[in-house]
Amino acid sequence: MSISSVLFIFIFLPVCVLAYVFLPRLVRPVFLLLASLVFYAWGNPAYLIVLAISVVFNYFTGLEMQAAIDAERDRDARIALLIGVIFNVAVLGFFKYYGFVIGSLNSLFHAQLPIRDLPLPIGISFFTFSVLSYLIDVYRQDVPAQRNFIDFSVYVAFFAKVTSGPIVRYKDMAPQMDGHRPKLNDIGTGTAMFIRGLGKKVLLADSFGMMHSAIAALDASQTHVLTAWLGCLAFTLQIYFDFGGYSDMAIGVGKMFGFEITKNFDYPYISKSLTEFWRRWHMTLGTWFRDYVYIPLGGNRAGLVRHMRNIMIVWLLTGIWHGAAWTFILWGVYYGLLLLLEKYVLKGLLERLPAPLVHIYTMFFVMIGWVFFAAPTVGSAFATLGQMFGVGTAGFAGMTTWYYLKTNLIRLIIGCVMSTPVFYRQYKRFAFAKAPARSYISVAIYVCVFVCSLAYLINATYQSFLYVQF
Amino acid sequence: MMKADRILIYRIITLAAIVLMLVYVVSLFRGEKESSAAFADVETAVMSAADLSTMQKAENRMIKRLYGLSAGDYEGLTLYYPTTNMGAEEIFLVKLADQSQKEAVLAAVNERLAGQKKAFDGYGVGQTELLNASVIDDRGNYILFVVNQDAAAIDAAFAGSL
Repeated sequence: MSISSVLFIFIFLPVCVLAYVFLPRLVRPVFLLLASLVFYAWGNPAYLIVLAISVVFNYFTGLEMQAAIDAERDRDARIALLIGVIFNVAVLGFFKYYGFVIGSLNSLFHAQLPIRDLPLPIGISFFTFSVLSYLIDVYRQDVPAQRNFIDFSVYVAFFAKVTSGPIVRYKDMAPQMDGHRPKLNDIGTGTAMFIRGLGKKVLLADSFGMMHSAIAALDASQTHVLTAWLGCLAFTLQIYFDFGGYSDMAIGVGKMFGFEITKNFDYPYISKSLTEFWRRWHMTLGTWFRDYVYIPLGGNRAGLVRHMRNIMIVWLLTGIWHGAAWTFILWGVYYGLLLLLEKYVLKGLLERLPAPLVHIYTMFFVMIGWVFFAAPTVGSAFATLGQMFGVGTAGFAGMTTWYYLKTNLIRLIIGCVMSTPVFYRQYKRFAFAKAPARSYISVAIYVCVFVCSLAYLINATYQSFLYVQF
Repeated sequence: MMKADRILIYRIITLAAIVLMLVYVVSLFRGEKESSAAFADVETAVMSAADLSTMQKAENRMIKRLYGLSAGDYEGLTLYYPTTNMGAEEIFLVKLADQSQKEAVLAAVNERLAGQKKAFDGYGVGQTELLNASVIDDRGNYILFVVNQDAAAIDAAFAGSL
């Protein structure tokens, strides 16, 4: 089930929130788990098997580690962690990369190894990273192992975050898992956040998605430099409003059930360096890699060569995490190299340059990066990059350019403005001022966004979340 | 219970979960196998087993009209259909791009077969016999639909080419 589907918005979510509020405290976690399992299995119950085995395995691995720690048997705790990490990584690797590896071997060695079309359990990258963080935190004794199976299952499978994150740390969610009744204020704030996310996804991301698809489908002879850049800008806005919108919806749903889910985006497109961009984009994934890969490898405290190695490892893994394709691997390596360049060569220069220039520098490389992310193959990524720099195009601008610019200009301007905090800051200043009428206007705005989103949602066929595939 | 016993019990349960996952993964491979044979090779093998004199190769437009399927969505798709309205012979071969397409293709084939049976019912005895003896062979990522007096031989050639 998708959290932007009509079924979810009108039936599943309201029924779950109402039942959760009125059920007795002890029953609430059980109810939330059952609702999450129904949500996850909706459409394809086969997906549930992998999630269920993962929950059971990690729950007992946590208990095993805790028992070993309590008995001061470090070796047993270490073995349990090792088995836990290997199992989780192997399951993720198998389901996500099996087809990619066999396909790559076939094309490299002209082999004909048969490929099975295996079901990819939805959200496997997200829930695997969640349980890995749990196991490592228990081993480090940052948190005690969860003894309540239902609570642990809710942590892994909670429907607000299981399919596309954010990757919530156990230590952040554990103190909230006491089955407390959500306050009316939380439900209201959560609803507003959900509507905001829905609007970003349906009204903005999907329309930018259609624009990008239309431009990407153009024949090279019809494409101009400016058209190619317009397509790239459309994808840049699409992916931000798509994933950012989803994250807002997930955080909003979490809030309706009394959970504070970790923030995932902080206006990344206003960044003044690529380092800052990655502190603001998909923050839960960035901090995961920082805490569980980069720092354990030695971070930046182990000399220049090891620091460079650590950065490249983290970014290679980030690329691989995003998908089983060479485009994602290339995208990861691209950022690894750029961040090294920024840290060791450009840092001083960037600090001296005027703000608009560093902003242009950041967005230029971010947009180039999205070309690799959006392209189905490495070849088509380089073809698009070529078009953006005038290779094989019909010129700088043409009729198609003006057509796409004219039909999308207002939308692009809205998208650019909404990707900065300017609009929301002004809105908050207006809505939270001490004047009762403003509250009503604020509610009217939200109702309007919701109704418009629904109108689009019911008519549109284009509504997949980009990050669900990860 | 001793702490050592608890550790052992937990470890046994985690190992059981690993075994369960392995069983599930193995079960995924036990169903139909997908063929990596090139579509062109399978098509050649199938068509060389058939007498194509009463059939003609369909353009994508005709495939869309008769089956409602877009050729571009599939890894390979070919249709030979009767040269006259009185013919019922037909060979339809599809290589799926992914398994999610299977249901739609099989539904389209069954719909086509039902439509043809209805069309010839009552006056085309020979055609109805051919349609009743038609073969729908679903093998992993390949699907074959044959209405032909040599349907069994064509199907055997299809199976051998995968």
